[in-house]
Amino acid sequence: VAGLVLVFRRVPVVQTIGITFVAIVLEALPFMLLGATVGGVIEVWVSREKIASWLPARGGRSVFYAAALGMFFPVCECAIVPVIRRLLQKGVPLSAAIAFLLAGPIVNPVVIGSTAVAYLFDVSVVLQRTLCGYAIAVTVGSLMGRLFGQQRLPPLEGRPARGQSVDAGPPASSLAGKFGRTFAHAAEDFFDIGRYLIVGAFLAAAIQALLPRSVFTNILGNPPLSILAMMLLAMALNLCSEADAFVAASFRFTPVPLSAQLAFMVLGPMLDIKLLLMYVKLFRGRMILALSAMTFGGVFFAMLVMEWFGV
Amino acid sequence: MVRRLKQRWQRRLASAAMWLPAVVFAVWFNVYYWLLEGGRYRAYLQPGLWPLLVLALGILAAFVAASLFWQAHTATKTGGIDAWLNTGVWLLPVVFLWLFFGQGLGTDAFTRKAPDLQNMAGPAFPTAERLPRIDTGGPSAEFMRLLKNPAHFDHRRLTIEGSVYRDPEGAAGRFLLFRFLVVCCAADAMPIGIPVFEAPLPMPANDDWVRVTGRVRIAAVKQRPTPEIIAERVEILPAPPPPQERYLYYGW
Repeated sequence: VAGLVLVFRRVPVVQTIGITFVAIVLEALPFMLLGATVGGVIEVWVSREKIASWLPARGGRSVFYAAALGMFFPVCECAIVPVIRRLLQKGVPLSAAIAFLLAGPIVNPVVIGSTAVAYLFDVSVVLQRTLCGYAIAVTVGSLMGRLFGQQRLPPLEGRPARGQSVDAGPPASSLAGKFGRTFAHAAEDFFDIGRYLIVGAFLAAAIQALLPRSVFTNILGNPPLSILAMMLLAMALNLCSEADAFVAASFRFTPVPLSAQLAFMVLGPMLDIKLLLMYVKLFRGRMILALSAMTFGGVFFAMLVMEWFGV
Repeated sequence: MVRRLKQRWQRRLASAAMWLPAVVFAVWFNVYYWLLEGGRYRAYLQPGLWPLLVLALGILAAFVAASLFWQAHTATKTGGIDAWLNTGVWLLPVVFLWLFFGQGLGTDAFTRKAPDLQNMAGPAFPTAERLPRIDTGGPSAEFMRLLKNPAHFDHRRLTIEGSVYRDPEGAAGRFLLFRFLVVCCAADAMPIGIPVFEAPLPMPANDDWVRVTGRVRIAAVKQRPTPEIIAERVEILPAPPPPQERYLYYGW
């Protein structure tokens, strides 16, 4: 790839791909570093028992709490994958983990703020985005829990065999040892998952550069088609959830309906190319397929209902 | 003999692979440090994101130390081949950064990112009222002020700078003067443009960096005031070498 790029680097479209690719990676990596570190903290400092004690006694209710967790723990979609990975290993129910995975990057104060600014403090848009994100995350989380709750998840790669020492440094019980293990686990996750982010970012950059946005603007007068087109655009662009509202708002005075703009803002943080690749490290193939289908279908259905009822 | 050599080579690769995560983290630490130095990161990222980069530096430093002293298990698990491939993927963006640093988004990106090429200045950009605060003076500031408050400039003379986009089927003497507005990073950069009319010959070409002096008139596009410039003078200038000087940034 690098060789081809070297040859064609003066071609305008290759330049656009290159600049976009580097920009996505440079922006996403700090968030992912943070997410991986939080994952390391969970692994080393928080026991299974502690997590179990935080969850409501009735399993079904945990999904409602988890979907709102982003309000107190604001994470973007790049940061959340390593966190979810460690939470699942610590015994958090699949339904709650998926609810947090889907809602966390939408139902959080930073994203609510950026949506408000992009839409000039139009409270109805902010509420619709947040509530739709919450409702879809709860629904998909609950369904996934029912369908796949008993299934085993892919193991963490590179974990030492049982009984084998994890560390080569200070004893694991010492404070230095614990900090060391925290960052060793975090670095392991980051190194392991990061490649999917990079491959996803490259595909996203290529699609961004090769697919003119005006193609989507031209699908006019047909709300279901507009919604579908904006959902595909959200998946293709792989924008950060803090920034996607500004891009959605740029369609505000075009014939793209508000329901389609909302579809763009709700689906993007839940499902895009880089996330799909990163999900490989969380779930097995059938689960990824079901999760993607439910999320995509859920967003499409919710937006159609909103369009029909003129919300 | 060959088998023994192969085994020895595989052992060496596997043992070297143990240190690859530390190498990758060290490379990325240097990348972020280099980008922070002198504000180079603004070629790709919003200036307000610098604390994020400092945070990345801190965590990467901790990762380098952890990988060296506690070792990464990922590398040893699959005999090192996986780690070598992984390292290649990790270094790909660094190669791209090296190849593309200094280049900015141009007309190609403009035509692909614009939702509606016929309608770039007003209605397509409802956030114009909250466009960036401008710390520096000059033509950049003027570009933003014009979009923020077109009515204020009606019938006034002004000088602004930007890139040129010419519609292949557009009328003679007409082009769009555009800039990219970066919210978070260059990937979400939104094109904003101002139509320029009656440009004197010779007409600038696509991607030319020009300084336009002219008079503003306000047109109503979809019930919104949209600025247009009747050009008196169009100078073709060398584009500012660091791309960050060609971008405008959303004020956080």
